[in-house]
Amino acid sequence: MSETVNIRELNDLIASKSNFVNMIKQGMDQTIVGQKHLVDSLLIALLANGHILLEGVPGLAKTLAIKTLASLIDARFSRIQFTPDLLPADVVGTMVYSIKKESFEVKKGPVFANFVLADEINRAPAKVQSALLEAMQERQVTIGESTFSLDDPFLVLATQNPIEQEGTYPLPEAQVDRFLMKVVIGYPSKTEEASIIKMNISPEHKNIIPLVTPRDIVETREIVQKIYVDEKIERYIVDIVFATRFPEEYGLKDLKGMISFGASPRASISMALAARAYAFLKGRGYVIPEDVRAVCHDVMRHRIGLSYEAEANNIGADEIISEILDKIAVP
Amino acid sequence: MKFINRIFAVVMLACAVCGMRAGNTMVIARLDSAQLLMGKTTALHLEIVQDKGKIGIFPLEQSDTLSSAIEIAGKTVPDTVDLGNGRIQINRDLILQAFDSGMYVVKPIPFIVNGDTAMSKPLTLKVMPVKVDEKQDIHGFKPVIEPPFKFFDWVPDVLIDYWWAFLLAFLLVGGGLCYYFLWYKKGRKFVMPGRKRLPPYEEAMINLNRLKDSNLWQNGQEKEYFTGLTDILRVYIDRRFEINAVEMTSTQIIDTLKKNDETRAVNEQLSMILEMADVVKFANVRPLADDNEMAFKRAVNFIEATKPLPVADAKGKKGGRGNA
Repeated sequence: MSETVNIRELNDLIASKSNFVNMIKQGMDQTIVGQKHLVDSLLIALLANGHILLEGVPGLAKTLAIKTLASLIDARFSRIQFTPDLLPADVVGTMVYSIKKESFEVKKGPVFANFVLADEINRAPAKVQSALLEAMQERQVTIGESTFSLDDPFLVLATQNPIEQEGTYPLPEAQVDRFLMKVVIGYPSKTEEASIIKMNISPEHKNIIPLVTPRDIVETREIVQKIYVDEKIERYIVDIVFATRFPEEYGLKDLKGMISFGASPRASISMALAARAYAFLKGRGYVIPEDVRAVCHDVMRHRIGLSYEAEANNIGADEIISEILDKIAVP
Repeated sequence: MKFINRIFAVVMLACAVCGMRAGNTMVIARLDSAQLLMGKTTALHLEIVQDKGKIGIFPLEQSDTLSSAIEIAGKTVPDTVDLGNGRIQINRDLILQAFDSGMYVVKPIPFIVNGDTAMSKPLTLKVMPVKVDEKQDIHGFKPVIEPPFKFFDWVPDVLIDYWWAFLLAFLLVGGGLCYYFLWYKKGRKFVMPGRKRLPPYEEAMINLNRLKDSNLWQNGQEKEYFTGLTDILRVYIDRRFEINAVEMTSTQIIDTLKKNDETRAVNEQLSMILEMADVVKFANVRPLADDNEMAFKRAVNFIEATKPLPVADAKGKKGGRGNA
C-alpha cells in the first residue's frame, strides 16, 4: 500500500507520543480499580481540551480518579464542594484588603488549577454555577479590574448525584451543553469490589510519581489536532446530530414524540473533537466510524431534551442515541 | 214622486251590481264538494275575471286558514287565460281541510284591483265526522314509512352535476399520492409494488461486476471504489444473514459474523477487506493496484463461499458450509 506521507508520519508520531497514555493508564490502575471508562473519558477530555460532567452515586472513586490523574501529570489539583451558600468569589477568587500594603490584593480562587473537581455542582445556586461555567468556557477569570488566564491544561470534572434531587439547582441546558461529555459511571463488578477492599485495607501506601508534565499534554494536543477527519466521518456525525433534531427524516418516527429538542451544533463539534482524541488513544492518525460511535453516548446524552412522553415510558437519552446509531448508515 | 222612485231604483241597482263585482273585476268561487270527511281535503276553485294589464292583490296569499275551522292545506299556481277584449281570467285552487265536524260557512273570498275589492259569494261546507268503531282496540300512531332506498338519493346533487370535476380531482390526488409513496418516499427510486428483488447472491455479483466495469480505481478514484465495494458487501451481509450490517462498523460486522458458522472460513478475508477499506476511505490513503484487485477477489470469494446452497444440497450438507 502506498500511503501518503502525512498519515504515515502522523501514525509514527502518535505511536511515539501515545506511549504516555499507557503509562498514565497503568499509573491510574495502581490506585483505581475498574472504572476504565472514566479513565478513558478523562484522557479524551484532556486531549480534546474539554470538560466532563460526571454522574454517579457517591463513593465511586471520582475524586480519587481526578486526583491521581493530576498527580500523574504533575499538575495542580483543587476541589470545590458546591453548597447552597457558596458564592462566586469562593470559586473564582476576590479582592482582599491588605493592611500591610494598605491596598486591595487579588486572592485567586480554587478555579486556578489544572484539574478542578466541582463536586455536586447542582447543589450551588445558578450564579455560582455560571461563574464556574464561564471560567470553563472563556478559560479566563476577571477579578476586580484584572483578567487572569487559567492554567493550561485546564480540566473541570463536575459531578452530579443522580439519586438526591431535593434542594438542588439543576444545570440549565445551555450550561450543560458546555461540557464536552457527560459520563455516567456505575458500580464496580464483584471482582473489582474485592480488589478495592484489598487495596484500601492494605497498610502499604502507594506514592504516585509524576510521569508527564502539563507541557507534554499541551504538545500532545497539537498532535491530536492533526488527526485526519474525513468528510465521510463529518457527514456521519452530522447525520447523527440531525437525527436527534428531525428523527422522522431518518426513519425514526417513533422518536419524534420522545425528543423535545435535539443536539446543538456544539454537539457536532464536540463529537468530532472527542472522536479524534479517541482515535489518538487507539494509536490511529485518522478517525473511523468506530471512534464516533465510541464517544457518541457520552457526547450526546446531556444534549438531548427528553419529552414527558419519553420520561413516562422510562426511555432515556442513551436508548434514543442507541436507536439512532442503529438506524444511521455507517459510511 | 215618480221621479224620486226612479232615482231610488237606479241607486239600488247600482248597489246590487257593486256587491258582486268591483269595477270590472269578478270573483267566482265554487267547491269541489260541499261535504267533506274530517281530515280529508277538497278544492275551492276560484275564477277571477279582470281587465288585462291591471295588477290584483289576493289577500289570502299569505294566510293558511279561511276560518277557525277550515284550513288552507295548499294553493295552486295561478293560471291565466286570455278571454279577449282586454279581459283575462285567473284560475286558482285552494285546497281546504277541516278537522272538526260541523256546518261551516266559507266567507266571501276577496280580490283587490286598483283599490277596489271584489268578493265571491259565500259558500257552505259540511264537515262529516269519521265513524269510530268503539268495539275495536285503541292503537298507537303508525310509524313513519321509510321510503325505498335509492343510491342516487344519497349522492349529493353537486356530485352528480359536476361528476367530471370530481373524477379529475380524484385522479390528480391519486396520482400525487402514488408519486409521493412510490417514488419520493423510496429514496427517489421508483419501486413498483410487487416487483421482486433479486436474491442477495445474484444482486451482489451483478453489483460487483458493475463496480469492476466502472474502472474506478484505474481512474484514481480508489476511495469511491472501496466505498462501493464495502457497500456491496454490507448490503449482501445484511440480506444474507439478516443483520443490519449497513448500520454497523467494520469491527461490529466482524464480531457478529464470528459467531456464524457459515462465514468462519472467510471471516479473515472479510476482515482484511474492511480494514483496508477503512484506511482508504477515512485516512485518505491510496492503495496499490494489487491491493485493489486483491480486495475485489476477496470480496468475490466471500460472497461465493457464503452463497446459499440449493435446498436439496442444503439438506444433504445440513449447514456444513465450513469447507467452502
